Amino acid sequence: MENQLVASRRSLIGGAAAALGGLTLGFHIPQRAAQAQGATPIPPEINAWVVIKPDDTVVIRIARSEIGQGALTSLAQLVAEELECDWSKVKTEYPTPGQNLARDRVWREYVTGGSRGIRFSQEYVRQGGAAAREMLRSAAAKEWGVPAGDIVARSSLLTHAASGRSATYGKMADAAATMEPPRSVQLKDPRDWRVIGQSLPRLDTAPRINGGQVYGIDVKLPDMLNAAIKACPVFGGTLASFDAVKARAMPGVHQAFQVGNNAVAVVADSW
Amino acid sequence: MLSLMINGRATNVAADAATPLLWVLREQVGLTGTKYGCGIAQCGACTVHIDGAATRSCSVSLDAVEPGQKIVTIEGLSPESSHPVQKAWLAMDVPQCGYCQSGMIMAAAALLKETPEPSDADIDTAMTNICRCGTYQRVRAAIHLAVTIGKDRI
Repeated sequence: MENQLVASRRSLIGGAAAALGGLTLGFHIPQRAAQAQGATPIPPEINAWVVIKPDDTVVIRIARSEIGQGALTSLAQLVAEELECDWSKVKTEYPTPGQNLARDRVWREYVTGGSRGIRFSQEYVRQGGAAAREMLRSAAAKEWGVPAGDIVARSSLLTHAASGRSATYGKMADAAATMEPPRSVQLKDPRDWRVIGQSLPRLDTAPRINGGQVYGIDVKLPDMLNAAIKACPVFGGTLASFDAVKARAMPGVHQAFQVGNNAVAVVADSW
Repeated sequence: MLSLMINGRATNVAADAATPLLWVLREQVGLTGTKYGCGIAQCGACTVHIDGAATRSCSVSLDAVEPGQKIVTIEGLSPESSHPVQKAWLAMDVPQCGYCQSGMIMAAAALLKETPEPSDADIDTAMTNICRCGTYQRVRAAIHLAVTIGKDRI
């Protein structure tokens, strides 16, 4: 049954292509295009997981899909804990799967399911946060001419007690981005966790209460068409015949045709 | 060409008279906050206000909208998510995936206009929107919180 459905979708696309003279497979998400065209230069990343802006905004990269289960906020908590940043400054962004491939899967797995997002990511995203923290400390150590071990990183602030010097992460971020990543990192003892394990307000609620959150159904691409399928309501039944004259005559309808042996599809300008 | 009052503005729309208001809002006007969930008025994801009443827009055809009727969508419920229901929803992190929540919020806002201090039984009766993520307990708690938030403003 499942194979039949998959075959039907493929032949729908094939059938439509034959009817309309080819599909455009190029794809971009409007929001990202807008960001890509923005004039503000993006600050260099400290590592693939962390970008820190001059105003101390912490941008944490999330690879797994947030679909309501809370993975986005939780994965950010994992990174933020080790990074020792100010949680109130945290924002997230999703590198695309294409960017991941272009960078040899630096963000590793994107697949999200089976309650694996946290379980499978937690160690390496924490290591990512810890590595970024160490690069910030190294940058401060270099600038101040003191051992990195004497610098405390806490709440987006680097401090050297003996000399009284301090700097916000935002001030050290450019220098940190040039530091050699540490070969290994020590992860925090869970007894010392301040962020992980806390039930914090989600980072992604705001757009879900005002219609701002974009879902698949809301995406509009240039020259996009919509297709709807009606399959035989009886299991194992077949399509005897269909009359598409009225449907094809309706404004916006491009095509109506058989799919497999048990369904009809209509392709139109709009839903 | 028809003129509809949507979120306080007269908006011209051109669509077949039988087009459900839901699709006029989403595709002609570009207000995609109102969602399609079932198309048969069972789930409530498409809930808007027409003259203040919670209405499932998937089942209202364009020609059934009377001239001058005030349509309000989730985008027009309040400036900057300031409605007490929206504030309560944010404070309690009610949404999970969020897909049903535009309709849920519109239904809750309409309920509070009708019944300013609903009991749990009132909420059970009025709130028939379906949520696959199961946020119902938080929806109920947030409606009670919205009552408190609304009172503090007066």
